[in-house]
Amino acid sequence: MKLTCLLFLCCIVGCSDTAEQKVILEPWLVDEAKQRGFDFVWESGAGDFPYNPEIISGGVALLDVDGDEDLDIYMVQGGSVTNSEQSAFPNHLFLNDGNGNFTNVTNSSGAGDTHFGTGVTTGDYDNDGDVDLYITNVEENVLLQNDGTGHFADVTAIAGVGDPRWSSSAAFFDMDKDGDLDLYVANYIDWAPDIERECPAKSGVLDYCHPQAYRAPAKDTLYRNNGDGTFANVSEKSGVHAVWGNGLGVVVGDVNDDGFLDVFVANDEMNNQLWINQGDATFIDDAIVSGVAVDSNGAPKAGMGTDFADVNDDGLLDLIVVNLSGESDSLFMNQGGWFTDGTPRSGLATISRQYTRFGTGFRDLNNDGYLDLYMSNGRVQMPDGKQPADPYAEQNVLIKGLPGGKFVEVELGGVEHTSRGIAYGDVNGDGAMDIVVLNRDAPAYLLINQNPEAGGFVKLQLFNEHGAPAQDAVVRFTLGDRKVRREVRTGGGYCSAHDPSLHIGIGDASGITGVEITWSNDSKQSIEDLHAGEARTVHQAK
Amino acid sequence: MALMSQKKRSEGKGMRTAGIVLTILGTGISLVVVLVLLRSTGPTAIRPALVSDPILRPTIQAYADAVDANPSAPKPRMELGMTYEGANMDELAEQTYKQYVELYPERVIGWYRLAIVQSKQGEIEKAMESLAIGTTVAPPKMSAPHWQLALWYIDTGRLEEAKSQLDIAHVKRPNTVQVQIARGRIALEENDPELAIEILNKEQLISAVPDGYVYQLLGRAYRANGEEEKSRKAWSRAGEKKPTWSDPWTQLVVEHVVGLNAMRQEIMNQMQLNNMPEVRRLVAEYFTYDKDNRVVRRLDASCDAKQGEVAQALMKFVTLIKEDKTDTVTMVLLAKLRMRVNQFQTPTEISITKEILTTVLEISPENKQAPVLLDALIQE
Repeated sequence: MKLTCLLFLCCIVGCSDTAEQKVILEPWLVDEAKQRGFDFVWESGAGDFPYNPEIISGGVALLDVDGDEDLDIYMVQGGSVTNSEQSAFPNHLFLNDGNGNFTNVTNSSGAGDTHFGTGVTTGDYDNDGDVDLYITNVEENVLLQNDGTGHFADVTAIAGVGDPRWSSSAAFFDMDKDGDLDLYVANYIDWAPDIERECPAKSGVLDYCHPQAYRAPAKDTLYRNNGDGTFANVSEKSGVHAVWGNGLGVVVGDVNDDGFLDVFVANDEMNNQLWINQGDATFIDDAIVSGVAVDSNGAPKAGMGTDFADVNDDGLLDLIVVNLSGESDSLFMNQGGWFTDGTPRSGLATISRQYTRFGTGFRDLNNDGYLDLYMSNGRVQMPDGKQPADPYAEQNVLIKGLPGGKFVEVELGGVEHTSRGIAYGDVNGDGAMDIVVLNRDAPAYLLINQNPEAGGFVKLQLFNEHGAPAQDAVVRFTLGDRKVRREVRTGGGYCSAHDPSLHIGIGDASGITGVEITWSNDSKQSIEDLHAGEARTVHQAK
Repeated sequence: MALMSQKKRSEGKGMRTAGIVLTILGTGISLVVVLVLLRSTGPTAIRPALVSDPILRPTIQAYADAVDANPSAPKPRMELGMTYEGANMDELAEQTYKQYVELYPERVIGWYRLAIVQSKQGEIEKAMESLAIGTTVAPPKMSAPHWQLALWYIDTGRLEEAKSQLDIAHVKRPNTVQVQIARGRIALEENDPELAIEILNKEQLISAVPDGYVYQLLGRAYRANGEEEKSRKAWSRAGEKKPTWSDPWTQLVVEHVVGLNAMRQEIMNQMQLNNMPEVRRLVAEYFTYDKDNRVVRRLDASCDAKQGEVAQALMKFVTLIKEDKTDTVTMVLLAKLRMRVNQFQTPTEISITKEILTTVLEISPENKQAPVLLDALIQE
């Protein structure tokens, strides 16, 4: 009898279908890289002996390099961390023809930095009205100055931003409200090929080491823009050398709404940092007391990609950090400058644990007015058991946002690769957010959004007083009966930079009303209502 | 005619009854036979494709052979599963535990271990399903499956189910730390910081939970209650490690941790206990498998130093540094040893020791021991 009861219970419990919680909507994201002329493989250079940058690196940027009002693609390249013949592995620049078809213009652009690259961030550091590139590398980082036509010059030495350590994510932001972009650079570990260690997998085959194997977390770097094309390293003076970890993800936002931009750094298997801007170009790490250093189980997780957004319409910036398999994402809900771990209630705790997540970011991917998440995944160590062709490959995940800061997984299916950085932007101008995904030793994806729910949208492109895409502006508006806050930001995610244009899904609403822009210098500007399908450009008053 | 047909009907009814009885009997016997067969045969042992660790390999093979020799015996299969679990070979552990629970669904240990390895692999839904079954067969005084399931329910936002499991856990064993922690977490999740503080702010609980975890929760609770100063104080006393909750089988799994990693750990343990003969024995055994391991060679040299064989220790440290000129751990050990030996206390020798420590700081500016040792040298 007992056994019968047990078997019955097995059926009830064992057969309960967790998949019923998943949404199946196809096709949503279709990889059109090949037919659109976007051909890029991130070369890890992996050989018999594993070097850590081969498994960690790879970023993407979506930006308009030539001012023709469409999104071009910049791909950071790897190569070989030990072979000096790196010239064969330049970063790549692809120009958009305006219809979402691409041409590789690397050779003529000057953007083909040949260091072993980790990531990229974008911003108009010299206030000349075009977007420049900052590349994070395993060795010296590189600043590429845009001449406005998509041609770049290496100005690293002049600018003084060639951090020689292994950097990961970086972010341009105006920390001191002096009207120019400063630069935060997260460094991962103090690493060089000759300190690489032997870390065998369970099978005995050499595998990539856990970051703690090196016991060498690297201090981050903060550069203050001098306003004359040069930067000063203010890492010590500003306080950001007070604590440090294995930094991977960086995102900037004003978490306490005091008018100054704060910086969150996701660290790999160490406490995260939340650098609270004191308003005088100094920062204090408040991650522990703010509740974002560790999760509610008390554990520092393997923080990778990260992003800020107001997911529950309470007007405050919430924070996501994605982590290693076996660890859930952390969705920290802002309570007014401090956070509670809202992961369990959000639904993300069960969705996320199966994969090692890197790239991510909040965007409305189905134009229903709620922020969704795409996560690019891939292991960092081999699984035990049978080894597939790419032992690190994992399925990427699409997570649909619901009202009240809840999330539900969308069944994606499709091929598996080892994915790293992602960038969001509408590359074909059809009003749906597309995604570029970098894959390790496999073709990058250009995921064209089919907008299966056919939601409406409005688009807002903000330009600062210098004519460059605005950074770190906040837009508040009314959508139906909701008061919504959205951020204009290129950073966030993992080692990558997004198009900062504000793409607002509105579902079946006729538009948005009561739109107010808060520019990064705190000036406010109200604009007329936007109607469904409308794209509007707004310039900051000089 | 009517009587005959009645008799036939009666006979027919009797035959049908007998048939039903026989059918039931037959089905029952078949079920028993199936179960007996299932248990007496059982599936063959799950074996890995390749294990390079020279200690782990034969251990796995021995347990797997024992399973195949007697597939109905629960112990070898559980030991095989625990060996995989102890070696972090989670997929193999999961497969083995799945075999176990199919054979012995009434034993909670199988469901519990299965749930733990599923959870380790990120399959939290499956883990909760497995442990939910485990709770139904847990003995009357065993609370672990209930609080463990409750903690997972909290992690996934299923607070009402968590509360039910905690109630059962509390009845089975009142006031365990895990139940109190879980109730504190639920209060936090339900935005009731006052209740969380009431539950958590108990000296007995704080001291019983390792790594200052209760202070973390109190830090969150005070902050949610608007008591920022108290929150800062609590966080300042909080640790930075995740507490691990031991269950009734944790020790058993630990005992099944074998392999070179486990042996290295044991050498370190014995070193801390100052049990040098055992360190010598283990190091000698270790070197039969892997004579190049730098960690063990360092331990070997430290053992020499502790036993007064200074020259030998120095030679071993120097050899290690020559092989890896960035090995700051050995450099610090060498410096420490030189600071203890009289003949290295001349100005010239002290300057050499200082040079070693300066090199450590050049390679690793964040090294915490080198500045302390340098200070000590300067004071001397």
